[in-house]
Amino acid sequence: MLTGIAATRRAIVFARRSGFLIAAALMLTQCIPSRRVNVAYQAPLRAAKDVDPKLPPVNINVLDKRPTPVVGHPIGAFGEKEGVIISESRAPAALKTAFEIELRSEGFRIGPGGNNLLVALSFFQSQYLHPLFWTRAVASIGIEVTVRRPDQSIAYNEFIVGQSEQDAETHFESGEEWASDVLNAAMNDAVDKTMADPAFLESLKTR
Amino acid sequence: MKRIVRVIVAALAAVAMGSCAYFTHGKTEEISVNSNPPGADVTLSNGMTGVTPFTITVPRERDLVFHFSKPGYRSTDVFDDTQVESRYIAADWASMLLTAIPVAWISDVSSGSAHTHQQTAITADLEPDPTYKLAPPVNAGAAPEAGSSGAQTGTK
Repeated sequence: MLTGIAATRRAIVFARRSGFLIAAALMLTQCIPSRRVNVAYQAPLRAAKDVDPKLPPVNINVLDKRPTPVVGHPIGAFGEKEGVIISESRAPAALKTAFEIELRSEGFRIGPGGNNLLVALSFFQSQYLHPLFWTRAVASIGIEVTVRRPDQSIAYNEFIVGQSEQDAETHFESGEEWASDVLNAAMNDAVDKTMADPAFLESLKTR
Repeated sequence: MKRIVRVIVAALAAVAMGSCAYFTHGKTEEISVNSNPPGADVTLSNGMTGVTPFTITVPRERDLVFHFSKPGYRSTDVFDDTQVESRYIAADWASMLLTAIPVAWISDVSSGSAHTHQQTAITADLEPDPTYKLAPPVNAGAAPEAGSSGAQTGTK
């Protein structure tokens, strides 16, 4: 009987020590510094059209309406946000480059004297979900795309949401690499959706 | 023997206490969305859409942005981030320290149940846009139909 009680006590002590060790390990994972990522448009490889002199030029402006340049957060062991992930490269500049590349490949000239393309960046954020099992990294970008004629009347206005998602493994991955990947993929998705809208290109072809 | 039973009962209680977010909260929550004036198109950052006023069920764990737009008004965005409720973290810690069994932590964290959105009722005030003017239809020559705006506006 005494042996049984001693064994139970040993089991309880072992369980408590294990609990403290797990807790200490979790505490250590809380010390996640802030991270920095680079966002950039990755243009797909395809044949570009020659410049069409009949098409009016397009003047591109990107307006950053986001309240913060933060694009994500490393997370702790309980899924809580710790620190910030900031984009070193400027997201609006990347977005402007994306539309310049895509419109040039459709035969447009970029510059003043034609229609104005205004891209308002509403949000651009990434997140790491379910940090233990079935983990996923997700990102979304929201852009309001407006085409204005030289007299400032609106020829096209759409709100486009670009999204991306990728599987991940553990919460130790909740750093900058996955954030960079999903953010860039979300930006590509938004630009692709915009360029795939026939009404968008049609609105740019008329002055 | 009684002691062993007590330890087992305490362990089960601690596990149940820690996992309460998963059982009581669930993985989703409802958010009511309104605008002044009503009838605004709303697009969420996870791709969901609605026309105000409406109530929407969203995953607890996902940070959301609500984009409000309505022709003739300036569009606006409302950010609604999630955070892990500290009481569930405390319960999960207690459960783990008492039992050394991380079931509560695993169930709450893996499911995202311990998260809550900062706002569960969202209202946006839309300001009129005095510069709003639609361009004439692209297919010149054809008279615009009644109710036709000419330019395309909306959400994708």
